[in-house]
Amino acid sequence: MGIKKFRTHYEEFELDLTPLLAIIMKLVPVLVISSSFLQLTQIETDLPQVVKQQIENQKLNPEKMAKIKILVDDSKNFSVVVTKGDATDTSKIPANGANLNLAGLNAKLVEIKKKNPEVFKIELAPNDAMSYSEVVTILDGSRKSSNNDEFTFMDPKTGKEVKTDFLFPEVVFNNIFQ
Amino acid sequence: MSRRKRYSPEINKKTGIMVNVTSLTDMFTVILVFLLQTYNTSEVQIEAPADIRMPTSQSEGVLTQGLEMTLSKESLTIGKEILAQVKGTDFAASDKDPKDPNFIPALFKSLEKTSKETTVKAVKDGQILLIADRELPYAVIKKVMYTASMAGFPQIKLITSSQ
Repeated sequence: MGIKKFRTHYEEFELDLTPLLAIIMKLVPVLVISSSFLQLTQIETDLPQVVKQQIENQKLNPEKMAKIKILVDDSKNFSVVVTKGDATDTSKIPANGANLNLAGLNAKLVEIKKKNPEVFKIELAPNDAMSYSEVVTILDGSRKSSNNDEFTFMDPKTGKEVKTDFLFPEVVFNNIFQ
Repeated sequence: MSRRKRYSPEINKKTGIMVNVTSLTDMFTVILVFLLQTYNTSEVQIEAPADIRMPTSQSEGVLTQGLEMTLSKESLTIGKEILAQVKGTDFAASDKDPKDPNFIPALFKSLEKTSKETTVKAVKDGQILLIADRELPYAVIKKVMYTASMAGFPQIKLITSSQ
């Protein structure tokens, strides 16, 4: 009759972490070399397919859609001009002191989008003295609603209602040739 | 006279040194997770020049291929070729066309040459990736856009750093 060895909870087992450490040691330099610590993005990017189709549709039938133009003057005041057929509606958004009133612009664009959900393109005419970063903030502000609002429009292909959170993702600089 | 025996502690040669690597593994695991998060899966890798502070954007767009153009507070470059000098808030007078101040002849020539010689489809289609300093006035950017569109590069993608 053999002697049975009793295990007690005081006994510990040794986990050999050396191979794991060896793998990590090889992975870390590879990732350090290939990582980009400054994440770059690009404006004008891929949009959902339905939104893309609608933008193409807008290009093919420009006279049917409302034309939206954002102008920025020397004092950084916005003028938003909406032209639909023969009717033109101009709204002024005064600057916030020396800064752009981006919240006011975003709220105005949401209001316009609710009336014209099928329009995804706007024309932008920034002032020559504006900084490039201010132009980028306007592009950001006209891309999506700050309150994450959703807009419903009719997909011309399927005839079904489609929801999107995009405001005006396609921006054309209309004063380049002026 | 007998020499006194020097004291030497007894060492059991069979005993190995046990290094506890648990804390080191913990540290490396944290570093690994951090590096995996920052790992860029984009097909295009752009090296941001040290003298350019790009604007930040909420856009989440992945970089696509195109002709990289750099516009700093000092100069406009494509690759290593300096095409025009920036003086203050405008291009140097010598770099602008005297008849059309929005036109930069050196940029136009370079783009025309690139368009003919390139084999990259995105560049042939007229795509430019513009890396510009955030403090530059829109007037300078406008001149680049104007000349680029004249040279058959109408699609200008603005490269920004993510927020």
